[in-house]
Amino acid sequence: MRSTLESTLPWWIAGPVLGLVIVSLLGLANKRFGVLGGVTDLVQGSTEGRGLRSWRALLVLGIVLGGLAYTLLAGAPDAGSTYSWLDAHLSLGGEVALLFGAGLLIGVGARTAGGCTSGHGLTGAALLSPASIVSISTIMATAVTTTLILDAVV
Amino acid sequence: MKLRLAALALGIVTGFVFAWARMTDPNTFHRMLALDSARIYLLMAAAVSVAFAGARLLRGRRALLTGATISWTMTRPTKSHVVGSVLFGIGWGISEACPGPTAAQLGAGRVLALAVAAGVLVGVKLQPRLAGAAEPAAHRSSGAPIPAVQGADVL
Repeated sequence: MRSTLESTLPWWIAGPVLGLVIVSLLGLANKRFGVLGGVTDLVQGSTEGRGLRSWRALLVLGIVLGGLAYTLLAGAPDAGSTYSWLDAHLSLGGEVALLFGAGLLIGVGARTAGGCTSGHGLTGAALLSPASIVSISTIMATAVTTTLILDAVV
Repeated sequence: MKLRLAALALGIVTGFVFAWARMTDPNTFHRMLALDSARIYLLMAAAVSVAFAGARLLRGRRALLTGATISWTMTRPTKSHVVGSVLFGIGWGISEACPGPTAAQLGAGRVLALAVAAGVLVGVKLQPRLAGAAEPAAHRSSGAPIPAVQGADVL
């Protein structure tokens, strides 16, 4: 069990399972899977409700609990104070500040665009919504460009 | 109530899969976004394909919990979608985590994900005010509806 969980779940299992999560929400309640909506309901609320009265916020809470369940069963590969390749280049304070700033861009940007990688990139793209296809294409192009620039400069 | 329980359960599956597929490790997204690995692109394509097929099978049927007719509408792209997605993409490129994996990282014990998550919460909260400030004064005084970059409807 433990060794199975320690080896990375292949994309051809993980992807279809996430696809089925999207299909399940549609089939159970005609709802769209998306993480940003849950964050919005946590901080502000919507017609779906506010805080944990909103199913969208509970979806996000579930994702946190799913990460916790994995870490308990698989030996906590993510636990601790390491983050990414930035660790080697920044002080802890500098890294916290940079990651907070990146989070701000993500929060402001996702809400401006009306969705994030899950809402636009998975659900909206699967429903062939033009706004979602434009959004996820823009997100990918920008994120790849940002990464290639950072790799070249740092 | 049933919908909230279902959402919680589906969220747990999602978070577990994110962690098991190592999407809670920023290096996974670094390899993806530096174009060193096709794995996450394939994962997303597989998810979209399954969701595409499932959605078409379900279209027009009744949702099991709510009885609503399963349907969706097409949204036309606006300037908000492009501007917001550029900001989002820069943030994703720096943090190498988007909101779903960040949530899973919190559960998985990655302490610095707290910094990203705090930024996301504050950014989502502040966005309407920032959009209001960016709105041209002419729009505000004339009471014209929906400026170009106010924010698209959240999915």
